[in-house]
Amino acid sequence: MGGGQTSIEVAGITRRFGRTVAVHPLDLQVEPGVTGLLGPNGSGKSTLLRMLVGLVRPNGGKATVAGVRLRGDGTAVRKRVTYTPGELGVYGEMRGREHLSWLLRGRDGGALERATDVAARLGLPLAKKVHAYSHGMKRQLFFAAAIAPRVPVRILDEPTEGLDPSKRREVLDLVAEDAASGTTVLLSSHHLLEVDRACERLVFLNGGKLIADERSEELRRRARRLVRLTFDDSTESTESALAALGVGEVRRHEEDFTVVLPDDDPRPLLAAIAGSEALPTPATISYGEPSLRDLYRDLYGVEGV
Amino acid sequence: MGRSLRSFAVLVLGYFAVLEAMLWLSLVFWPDFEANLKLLKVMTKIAPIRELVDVLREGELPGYIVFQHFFKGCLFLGGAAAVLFAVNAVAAEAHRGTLEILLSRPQSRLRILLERWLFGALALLLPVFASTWTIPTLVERVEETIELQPLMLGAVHMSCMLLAIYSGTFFLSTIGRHPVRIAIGALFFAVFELATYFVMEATNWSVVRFVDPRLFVDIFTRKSLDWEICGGLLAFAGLATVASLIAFQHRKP
Repeated sequence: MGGGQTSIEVAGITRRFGRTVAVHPLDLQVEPGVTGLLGPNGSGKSTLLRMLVGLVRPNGGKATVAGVRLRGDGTAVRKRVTYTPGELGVYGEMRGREHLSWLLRGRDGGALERATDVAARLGLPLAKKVHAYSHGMKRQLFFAAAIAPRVPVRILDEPTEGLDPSKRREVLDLVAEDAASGTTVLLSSHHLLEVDRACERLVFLNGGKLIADERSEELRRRARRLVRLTFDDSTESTESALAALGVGEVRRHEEDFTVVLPDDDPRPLLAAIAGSEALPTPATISYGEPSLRDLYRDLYGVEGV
Repeated sequence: MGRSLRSFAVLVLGYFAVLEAMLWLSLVFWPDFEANLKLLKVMTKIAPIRELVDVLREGELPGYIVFQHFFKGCLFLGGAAAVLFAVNAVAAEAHRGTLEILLSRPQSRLRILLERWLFGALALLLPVFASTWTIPTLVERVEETIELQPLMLGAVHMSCMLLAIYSGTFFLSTIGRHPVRIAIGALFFAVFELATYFVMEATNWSVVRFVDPRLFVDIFTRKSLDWEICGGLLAFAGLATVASLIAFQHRKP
């Protein structure tokens, strides 16, 4: 994908925890820009990200991050990469600024000043003790520490989780600004709609396996071909009536239906539904913003997400 | 670094203050305590305690001092401090969820662990040496004198024991994530060992024998260390530390 220089190169990396395979042998190349790693909880996203910064040792395969081969405890990689964890553990007794300084130990000299600026932009009260921070504020603190150092690669595990929409937008804007300067950002989320606008590319995991890797505009174009309908009382005849409209392929999922359109214009379908006497009135019609569950089911054929 | 140094200073000063206070209190009762020893020996039927009383009587002031400072103060308070410092090093970080951010900084795990081990070990041993160093001055207050050099050898011997306790618990901290469980386990072990020490038939099986007051009196009298015991304790501490380093390399956050 793309013609840029590869910043993260993963070949056959795998990790087991006891008998459970958290990440099956996986290949991935990530170029500068923002790449989203998506998947439901337990899909292996965090394990993969932790392996890339040396927090968890792979059972097999190899990885090169920011031009450095991942070896041993990954210290060489961590010198060229920043990372925010998905789970937030903090030293509550520290003040925000002190915590930021602690997180940035070993980074370049100007990192603390830049992190303080980012915190100010996010409205984070650095004079407060961290135990008084909300979940979202802790998330912003870690984000400020990860975005500030001058490194070629940033790995962010769920950076927008727990943030309100305005803060989420602010964080994603900062990520986009950073990526525009040539940085590679690999960020994970289990909410497609939280991150898809910021990502140029989306990589989907499920059950520790890579199931799709797409440019986000292509994914959005494909997603716009999906129209989801629910009916109060759906029967076999509802399915046949939908199919009889002849405006797309009809898929039934228990009580709801997905119509896969031939293009991304839903108007012919909506007009046909309105004009059909055989079809009951739909309870809901949704279009354009599929949930991760719908996307997995309708585009990649993965049920039960 | 600021936070680490502050915590370090608080630990060292607090622990030193308590050791020093215990020393002060024990010296207040000198020489009345000596007069009571005979009575104490008559009253107790537990052979190892009678033996302890003998050591104290024969050892006179140095015997009393080494018992109070090393056996009572440093072993009990120092042992508790060793466990506390060790469980805080890694297991407490894992327990409160901060191990991941600690490991995600651009430092090697070897450095992180050695730094923590060293800070804990210094916090544990500095007060032992510092409080031992003040003994001759304190003793002058009760119009007695005592030599510093053999006392410092006693502090070295005690330090070997404390390092062994610290390093053993440090290993458990490196592989565990429940500091309270580790501390309770250490407490049970300590009570068991102390109980064993006071049973005539089993006393030689207790690790408390490595810091028996008689040993400290011997060190004071001979003015030389028992390298067999010190070497054994240091070897154990070294092995436990190497095991901790290996385990920490593969530790999941």
